[in-house]
Amino acid sequence: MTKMRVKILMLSVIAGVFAQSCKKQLDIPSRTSLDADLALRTKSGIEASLNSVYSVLKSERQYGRDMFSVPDAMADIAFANGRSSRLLGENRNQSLSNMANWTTSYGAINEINLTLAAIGGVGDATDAEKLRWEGEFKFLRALYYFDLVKNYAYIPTFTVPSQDKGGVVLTLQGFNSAAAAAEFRPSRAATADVYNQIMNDLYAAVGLLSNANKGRNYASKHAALALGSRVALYQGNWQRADSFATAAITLTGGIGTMTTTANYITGWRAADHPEGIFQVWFATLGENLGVNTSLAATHTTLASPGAVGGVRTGQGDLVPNGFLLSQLGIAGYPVLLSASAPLPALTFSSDVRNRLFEWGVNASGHYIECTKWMGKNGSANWDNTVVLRWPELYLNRAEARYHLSNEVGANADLTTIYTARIVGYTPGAPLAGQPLLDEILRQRMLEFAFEGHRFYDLKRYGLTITKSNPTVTLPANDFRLLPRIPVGEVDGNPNMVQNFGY
Amino acid sequence: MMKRLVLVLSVILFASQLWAQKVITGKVTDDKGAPLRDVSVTVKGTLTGTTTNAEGVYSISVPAGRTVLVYSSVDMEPTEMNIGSSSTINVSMRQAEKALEEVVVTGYQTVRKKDVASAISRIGASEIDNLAMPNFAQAMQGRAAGVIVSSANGIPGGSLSVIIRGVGSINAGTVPLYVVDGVQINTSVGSINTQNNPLNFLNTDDIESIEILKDAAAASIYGARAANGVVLVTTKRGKQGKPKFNVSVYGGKTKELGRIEVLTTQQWFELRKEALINAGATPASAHTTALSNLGLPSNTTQGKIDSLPTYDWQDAVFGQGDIFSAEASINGGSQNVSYYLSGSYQKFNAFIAPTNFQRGSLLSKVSFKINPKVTLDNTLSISTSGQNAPYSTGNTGFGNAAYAAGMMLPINPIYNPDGTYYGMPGSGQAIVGTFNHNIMAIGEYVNYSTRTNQLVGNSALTYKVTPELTLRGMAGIDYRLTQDHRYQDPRVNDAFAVNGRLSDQSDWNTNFITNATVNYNKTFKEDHNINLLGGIEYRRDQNQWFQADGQGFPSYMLQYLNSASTPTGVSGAWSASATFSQFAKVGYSFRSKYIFNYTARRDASSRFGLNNKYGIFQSAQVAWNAKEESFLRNVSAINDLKLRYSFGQAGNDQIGNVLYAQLYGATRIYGNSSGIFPSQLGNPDLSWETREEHNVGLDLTVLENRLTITVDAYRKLNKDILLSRALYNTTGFSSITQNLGKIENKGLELMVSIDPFKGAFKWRSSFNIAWQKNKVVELYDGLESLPSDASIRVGYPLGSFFTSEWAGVNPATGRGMWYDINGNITYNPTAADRKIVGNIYPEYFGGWNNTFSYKGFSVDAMFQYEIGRVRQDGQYTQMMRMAGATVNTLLSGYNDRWQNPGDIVATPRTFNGLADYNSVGWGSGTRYLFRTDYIRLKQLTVGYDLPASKVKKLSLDGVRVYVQAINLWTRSKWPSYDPEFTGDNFGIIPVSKNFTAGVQVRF
Repeated sequence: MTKMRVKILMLSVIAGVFAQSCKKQLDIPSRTSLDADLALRTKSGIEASLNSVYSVLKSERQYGRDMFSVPDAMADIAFANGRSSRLLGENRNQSLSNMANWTTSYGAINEINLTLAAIGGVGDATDAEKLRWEGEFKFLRALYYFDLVKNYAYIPTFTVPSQDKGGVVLTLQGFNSAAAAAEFRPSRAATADVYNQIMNDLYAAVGLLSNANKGRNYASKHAALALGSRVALYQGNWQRADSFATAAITLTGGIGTMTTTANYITGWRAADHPEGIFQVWFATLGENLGVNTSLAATHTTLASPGAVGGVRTGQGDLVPNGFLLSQLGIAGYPVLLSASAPLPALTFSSDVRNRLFEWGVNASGHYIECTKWMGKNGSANWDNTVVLRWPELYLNRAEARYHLSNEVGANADLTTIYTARIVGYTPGAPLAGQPLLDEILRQRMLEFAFEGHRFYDLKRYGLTITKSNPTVTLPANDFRLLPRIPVGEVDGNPNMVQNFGY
Repeated sequence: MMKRLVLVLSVILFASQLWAQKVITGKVTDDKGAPLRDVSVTVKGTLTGTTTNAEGVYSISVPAGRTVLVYSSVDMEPTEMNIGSSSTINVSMRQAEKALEEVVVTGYQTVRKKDVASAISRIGASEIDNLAMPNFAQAMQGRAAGVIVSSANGIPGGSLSVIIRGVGSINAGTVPLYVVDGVQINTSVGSINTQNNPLNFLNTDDIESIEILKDAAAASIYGARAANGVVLVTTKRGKQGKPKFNVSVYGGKTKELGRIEVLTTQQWFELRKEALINAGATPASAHTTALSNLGLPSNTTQGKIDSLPTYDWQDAVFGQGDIFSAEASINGGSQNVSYYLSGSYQKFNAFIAPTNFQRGSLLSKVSFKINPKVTLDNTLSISTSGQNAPYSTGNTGFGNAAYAAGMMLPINPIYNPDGTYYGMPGSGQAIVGTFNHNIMAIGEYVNYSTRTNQLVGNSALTYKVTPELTLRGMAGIDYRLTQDHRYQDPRVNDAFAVNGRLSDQSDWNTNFITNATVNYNKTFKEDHNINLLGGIEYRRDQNQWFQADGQGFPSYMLQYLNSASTPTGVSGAWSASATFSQFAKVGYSFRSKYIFNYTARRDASSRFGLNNKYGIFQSAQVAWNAKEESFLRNVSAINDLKLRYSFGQAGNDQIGNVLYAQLYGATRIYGNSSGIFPSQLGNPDLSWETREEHNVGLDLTVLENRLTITVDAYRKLNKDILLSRALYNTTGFSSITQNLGKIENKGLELMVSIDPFKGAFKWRSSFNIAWQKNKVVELYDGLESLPSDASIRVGYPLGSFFTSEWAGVNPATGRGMWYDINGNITYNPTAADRKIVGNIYPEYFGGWNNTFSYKGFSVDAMFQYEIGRVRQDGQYTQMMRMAGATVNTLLSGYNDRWQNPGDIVATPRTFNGLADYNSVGWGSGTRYLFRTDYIRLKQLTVGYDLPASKVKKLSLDGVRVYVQAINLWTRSKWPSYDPEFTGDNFGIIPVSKNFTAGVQVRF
């Protein structure tokens, strides 16, 4: 019995010691995340943060899909066929069916602000590296703010003053404490201030980055100049749009080049578009957004060009409407766009851009689909997204020159586009006045169909969006042109003003 | 064999006792003279003992100097006899007064039912034995007042929602704490494939009792984990005596509860044309488009259209499942050892193939008395279950058979004439319509399977220092490995283009628990009983998983990653939490008349911030056993009367593991390099959510124990709610977790049991009902509603719907209408037009259980009901698209649609693209909210027990044969498959009907 008592006593002592050590066991930090205090102290931390800010561009709300497909669904060139019921509301310009890049953008902007403040404290990096980081982050901050302000606010070249509630919230300081974040009651900055901030960042990026930096998958001086020309165009700063476009066109050691009628199609079939100045890179197969919301899946059912009898690969939700097809010089399509076998033969004009449009696979009927994205990186749904492409430089400049009364220069830039796109192009009489501007905008529509330009081109000139199928007439003063700012951003914040009509 | 073993052992025993002086023999009977078997006979003060045989006869050799024999048996009062000169001692034993000794497991100890002063529901083995259900939580449904159990869907072994006394939390979990034989079970689910309920490891038939600690006072001893109530499961244990075998086998079928009628090909074609014309198309173009939607050329003749076939996909998909179960157990024991060993195999095939559940389980319980004071208990439960998962457990995927079956366009054949599947990719055939996958082929080809291996066990050492003082140390483990295999066969649509896709995942949960308790129980001067409990406990939960994905398989017969041509992803993570606790209880009872209990627990958790790591939870409980008062003791009309009041605190810690910390996540990737991003702001003040609850209860037994009533009323307040507080997204973050707000739950629970017939014909009926009211009392910053979820509003219950009200169909135009906030008609209701309508939790619910028996026959009928619950019917919503999209639609909607001005109907005119001109979406507002009210015959069992005389001739103890039906009858107005589900009812496998027949043999 005494032996047993001793054993029990020993067990009790062991249990007691164990219990004491338990208290130390209560500190269990994360092993899958980094302590915020330590994350940005090293070169590798900053590089990883930079990757993160680029990676946000891949999300569906950004250049994964929305930046291209949503505005084009809202504009006058596309038809949402409802195959997977996606983009129907956007196509009908229904209230609340609009862009929704608010949350993802501000997440990236906060990270940029935090990391920009941390760069100075990194010990294991050279000054050159620090300057490059700053340049890339500022380019990205400009891009995120530009994509916010062009959507959530009126574009300076056309506003409805009685409905104008200003720009977007401008934060240049990162949040790193719960208390500060909980107390934050932001207000909208003036639209002009947001544009000025964007240009400040772009000027800085132009100065900090080398001409090509690390190529088209990353920010570069070339990309900053190209983006700057677009921002200036939206601002109505024609002089600056002209000079930025010219600087980008004449930059030596930049990225990419114009394609010609001969290699236009192959350019679009390549993983890296030769005209790309800045693209969002989906480097590995696993990063693609899949069969429902990738760009390829959204726009085409085809696995490869001509595979009309093959397996349906994507949804093919958003297809060109009759207006766009006719403008592209395609004929022979049925009025309702949908057809069943035997498919009507199509005829194509000499504009090579229409060769990216062809009959898709039968899925509740065949539609003519856009094939700019069809798994070019090597597998279904896997494509890079080109944000800035060479022809934009000429079209931006043509438009700027038009407003600067340099119609000769504008016509010259148009000729550059025509030559690169129309087989056997022979110059006609130069255009002047409103027809010249109309033609520049028409070329933007044809050149950038489904690349997310058309809606903003209409918005910045205050043009009515008119569609016959679905039947829509949306004047530029309609409240639905601007998205609703997420309700949670306004609730409980007396400083925040909701967009008109919501 | 067993007899021979016993003989050998007896010989050895006798040989060692050869020098004994005396052999006593005798017969043990009950007070009516019937022989008692398996009565333990021991020589007092020694380890010497034996048991009586079937005739009640025993023989024991008594060492010199020993003078007393002790007789003990379950259900009998222990009896002592002095050894005189006679070598024969016959004993008559009295039945133990069972009602007095009824005990309840309360957490870390067992107490007399008399001493319970809080709200505890108990479910005994007899209520749940032989139920054809793989999970014991399912068996609790309808049997405990105030406990809502609902199946998430009809996946066998799938998720169950168990909510005890209403929901008090917004973002923290609402799952009760499950404790099986002292081991707290980790209830997180590890499968990405299907629902592998962590409680599946236990065969329901191995359960002795389930105690549900409902009020905060009862649960408080479990501290920070107890705010959602505690479910204590005690498994069966060995009883002293010869080995007893129990073998039970049942098998049967399972089928759907109902189908929904959809359109024929011709009806759909007409409706589609109507939808196109209503949306502005000319009749001619609508005709062409509708034909092309059906994959037909524009020149198809009317004669051809009239003769188009209609294929019934629902009929193909809804097959018949089957059920099989076989189990065997053995239990027994001698004086120092008792054991219970049980093994089982069960298979449940759902009526939608290939979803199923198979489990093999083993439970081993051994209790060994090292010496009269020290006992070693060892419990080990091992199980392995395999599940074929559905293609989707509940979403809108096109390949999801449960979702798509009713929406495939009926023109699509299922099979080709040669028996192969129609419309497979690459065949040149195409299935037309939005649902373009052959779901029957997916069911056969796709291999989604999950294996769950689970081990739950514990060892405990109990040291009875004195009869009053007990020390106990326990260490237990709850270990679970979940392996998912998701193979998309290259022959199916989703994987054809990439030649097959595979994702393999392994997920480990290791949950270690150890505690040490001291229990002191003593009665002073006959009147004063004190019961003291003290203890410490440590628990650590760890989860780790990894996943690897690949694609590109040379053949569908190659289904493992080594055959994949391209890796597409790898992922993995680790996470852990730990708690360290001290707890104590003081119980005092005066003449069993006045009961007072006080408990306290101090918890420290790794989940909370540095500033608030510790929390203290207390409870006080009082009860008055009025029956013990002299003025009632002789009142024969009242058999028992007890009043209870308790107040307690319990905590909720069901949030993520490191929410207090400010973190950078590392899950992003760009350009083949990883990215880090600020993922969490952290809150160093983070602490538990506390529930405080008052409970008043009454237990009354009258009419010669024929009528028992238990009533409980409670009011509980959850405060410092663990709230994911929305931040303005312009900060870069969407939320932080803070302790903010208050939620109140009030309720009344009633349980009535009657035994009107106790003779040859017996009827026992037990009815329970619970009313619940929930209310958000307070949010933060004076907010009336949560910015992140406007349906959470001060003054209204959680789970409310906050939306605009459907106003029906405009008879003039056929357009759907809604009410604005002023009650006027609108086609574009705005945010301002929303109001609170309905709630996802029932107003009242319960069960009604009846047992009839006559001679050997018995009938058990258990009804279960829920009233006042509202849900959105996602399946119905999608099936009411009325050819506005290329999916099949409901016949009821077709028959009831608007066609001509003046039609007064419930279904608006059909419209291509679903939303009518300048109008919100077709499913907006309350249009698809319905009450789920139902009452169902949950269980009906008809059984026959062979008479004892016949059984004896077969040398058996008992034989029972029975047939059982689960969900045989349901009354409900729910429009789609079945009202029992959680979530939005999108494409889930509905709950099914089961029929089984079984036989149970005891020997």
